[in-house]
Amino acid sequence: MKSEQDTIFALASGQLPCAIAIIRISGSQSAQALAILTQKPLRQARQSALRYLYDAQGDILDKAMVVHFPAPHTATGEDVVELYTHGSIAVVQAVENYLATLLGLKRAQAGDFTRRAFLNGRMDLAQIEGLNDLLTAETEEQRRNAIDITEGRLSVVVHKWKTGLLKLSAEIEFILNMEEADGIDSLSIESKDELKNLIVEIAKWLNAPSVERLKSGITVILAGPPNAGKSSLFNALIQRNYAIISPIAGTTRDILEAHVNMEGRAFVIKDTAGLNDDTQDIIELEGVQRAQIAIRSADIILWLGHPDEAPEHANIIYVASKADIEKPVSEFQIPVSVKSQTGLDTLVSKIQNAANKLLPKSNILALHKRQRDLIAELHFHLEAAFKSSDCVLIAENFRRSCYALDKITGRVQIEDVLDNLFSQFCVGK
Amino acid sequence: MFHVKQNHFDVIIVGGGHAGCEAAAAAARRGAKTALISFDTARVGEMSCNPSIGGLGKGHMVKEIDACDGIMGYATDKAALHYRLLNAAKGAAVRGPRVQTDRILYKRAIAEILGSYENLTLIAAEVDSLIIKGDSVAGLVLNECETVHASAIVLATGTFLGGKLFRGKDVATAGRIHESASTKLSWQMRELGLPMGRLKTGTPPRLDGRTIDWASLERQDSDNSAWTMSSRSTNRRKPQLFCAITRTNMNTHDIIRAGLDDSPLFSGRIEGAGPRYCPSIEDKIYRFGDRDGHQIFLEPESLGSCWVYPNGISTSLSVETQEAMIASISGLQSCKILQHGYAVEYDYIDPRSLNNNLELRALKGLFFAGQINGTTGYEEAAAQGLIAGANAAAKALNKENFILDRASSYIGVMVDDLILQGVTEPYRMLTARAEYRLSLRADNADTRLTPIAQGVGLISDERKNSYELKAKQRADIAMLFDDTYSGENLGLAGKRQSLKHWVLKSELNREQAIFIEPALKTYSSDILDEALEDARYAPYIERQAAEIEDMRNSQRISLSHLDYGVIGGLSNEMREKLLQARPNNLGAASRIQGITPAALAAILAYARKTPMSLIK
Repeated sequence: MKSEQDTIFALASGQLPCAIAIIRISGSQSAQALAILTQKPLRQARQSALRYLYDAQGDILDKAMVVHFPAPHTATGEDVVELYTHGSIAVVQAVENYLATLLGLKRAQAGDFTRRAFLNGRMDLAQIEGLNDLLTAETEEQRRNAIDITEGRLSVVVHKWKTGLLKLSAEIEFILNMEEADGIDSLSIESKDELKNLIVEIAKWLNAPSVERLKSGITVILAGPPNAGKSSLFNALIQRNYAIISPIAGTTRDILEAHVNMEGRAFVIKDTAGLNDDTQDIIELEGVQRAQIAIRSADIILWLGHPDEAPEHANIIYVASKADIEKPVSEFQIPVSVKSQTGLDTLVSKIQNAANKLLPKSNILALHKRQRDLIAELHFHLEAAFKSSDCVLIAENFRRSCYALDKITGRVQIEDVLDNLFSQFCVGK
Repeated sequence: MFHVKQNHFDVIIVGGGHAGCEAAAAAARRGAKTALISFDTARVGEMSCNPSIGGLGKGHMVKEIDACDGIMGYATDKAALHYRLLNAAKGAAVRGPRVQTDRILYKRAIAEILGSYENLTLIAAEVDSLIIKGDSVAGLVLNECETVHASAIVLATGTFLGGKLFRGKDVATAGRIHESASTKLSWQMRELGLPMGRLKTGTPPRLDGRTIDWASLERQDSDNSAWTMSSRSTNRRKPQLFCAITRTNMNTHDIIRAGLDDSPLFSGRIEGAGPRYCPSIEDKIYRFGDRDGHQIFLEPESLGSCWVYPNGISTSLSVETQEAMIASISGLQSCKILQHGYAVEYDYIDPRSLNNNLELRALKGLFFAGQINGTTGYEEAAAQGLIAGANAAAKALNKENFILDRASSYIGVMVDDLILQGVTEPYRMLTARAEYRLSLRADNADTRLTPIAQGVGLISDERKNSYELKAKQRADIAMLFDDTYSGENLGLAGKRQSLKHWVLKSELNREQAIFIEPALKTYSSDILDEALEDARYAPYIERQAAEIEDMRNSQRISLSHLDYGVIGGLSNEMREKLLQARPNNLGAASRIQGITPAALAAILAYARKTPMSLIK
């Protein structure tokens, strides 16, 4: 009995109804299924052809573009057929129902196509993680990052690191295993430099933000004393009337948050209660505490109070929010007026600049938590190797580093990784 | 014609080299009625090549064999002439004990030890063929007419199976110089369709010590500490000899280059690959031509003879070239050669056809150990002998297998490497092969292995008692190490900490530890040193423990029921590798070189879909 003998099929495009639906078939019976459906053989593989699709009684199901991709250079590594049908629920159901009656064909389960691609060596783990991101990407930045990972850029980098590491390992093992290597008892100066460079490069990856941040967006928090105009600015930034605005100090109690996409990048903008320490109102007091906690976890803070009273934070933008009636108190403040619609563009570009610093440089990808944890492990061991003068411990740290790299690509602990990976995919991917 | 008096045994060992002797002793220790068959019983325990035992990685294995109450370490101590701890300046994990031995005393010691097993018989005979019944081995045909029977047989034929000697343009059929080869058995192995191949090894010319100018050479004395190879040995034997060091020079290299035309290695007459880590001198000159000299260690072979072994110039060049080469070397100008060097090419079996008990998958009851499995070195051979002998006894007596995994020992590493990766050149142990090197030290072999060996009945009462005594001392030291002490005595600041902590933090040596806790003085220094090393590497060893757990978990995922031929999604190359090694668990599969994560996933997916009950 062969493991992947069944040929699977599923709707590979988005929700119906729509203009065109793509039904994908993968497996050894794909071409056979296509021949039965069209009752007319294709002239050439990998070229689209217009064909009628017939059911068992010879009735026309639809008129569709069809393509056959022979194995192994296909998405799944198997024979693949794609049918571009009209995107109506009835048409797709009719085609699928008929396919299900064919011998050896069955409906795909969640993650089936990707699993086959993986099993046939068409993708590695890092690539699959990238694919999952790609399918759920909402902004241009997430999409670019996901494509880079899907195309194997992380795998390439990991491979490069491993090659460098194995060279260093070989040198230390030579020292430890050659009987007459007495006298040599440490890495050469050039190798120490190479190790240092590797550590620096890996540190850059760790400092890049995570995929989770790319996905959920960069958190921008509006903070300041009561009645500083935070909610007005909040509504202006999200271009909706979300927060209640009143001249009464302490109007905003809880944290309001909105997800916005500014110039292809995801942000979470949060409006907070004014930082009024003197309040007796327990609800307002709770609001103030929540605001303070939110400030600590913010990526960027828009501070609407006096710059001298601003909280400590690495990314803080000082805003003079009522520029139409009050002069900025400091040259660092950006004058903004929601009422006269001035300064908003400048503020947005300031926010984007701050975000640029937070997001990965173009040659570095954002990492998943799993990948990031392993790269942090790698970094830890390489640092330990760099600091040690005992060749045995240097060698051990190199070995542990390789082990961490093997975990990234799935060479070790494969069963754990696999179990929770494929369940995240939708049918047809 | 020789007649065999008894002809029914539990276990029969073929070959009286290091693998065969260790196998015979192990089978006998487990209670099997054992026979050891050799062409010439007077040559049992012969050191065919250099007169030394141990070295980097190799010394570890001798200690491990000893921890299982094996015989190599004990015989080494009885024949020792010169002790040296290699890598003494580096961490304990990579220190390699090595002993120069008197080859005559060594052979005598082995004969004595083997003679002490009442259930072990030595038989002098040539083995013609295996007797096979169904899918099992049942006995052997000897000397063209006689038969002996056993349900488990260990082949430890060394270089004798299809052995061919080469020197210059001369070729002879032999296993060792002046000894005949096993030709008929070699034919049978090929007829059975077993995956056989050819490998080569070599040995240097032997020199007459009386004609060496010792005074002009750098002297290398035995180290003066007290360690021994076996924990059974109470002290070192006397007297000790010294070795000397000389070097080849540019003139030597020119002579070798001029003689390459006659070399069987370079003319293509030897097909088998040679050991990369123990190359012939002509190979070294060819590969590292720019070096101005290669070291040679002059090692006395015996107190009772003038033979000297020049370590580092194994060669199969012609007699004339060997003479000229030796005469060109400092200190050897007027040296006489007693026996010229030669290369030997021999049959080996692809060890991927064996299970982890070293039994052939294709024929039940047939075990393989030593050079025939593609390894080089006495220690590698003996270690396999231990495993094969113990498991042959298990087979015959229906007892449990004796399996050591990679986390337990170098022996486990070697067996795992052999049966999963196979060999492309003679396999030599290196500490780099052991991923858990920090915990697999020569000094803790007893702690690691004696309890396991005892569990399968490989340990004598005498060793059991001495082990328990030492185990008690280890426990006592561990308690003292957990007590807290102020660092002030050592001029160290900070609050009171456990002694373990101070050892790790301040890299205390033995004297400093005793200074802090005088009670430690009452324990033997080797046991205290072992505890100090454990403490020094504790954080690393703890981290490895998690890794070892991962490995053992993936070893619990059985694949023994899988038919690798029908798993989808594997490249032909990978399928080929899996079919040859037939890993019986996921951990083993993951260690095969070239098996990708994707392939592992395919195997795992298939294993889960195909419960054992569906197959057979």
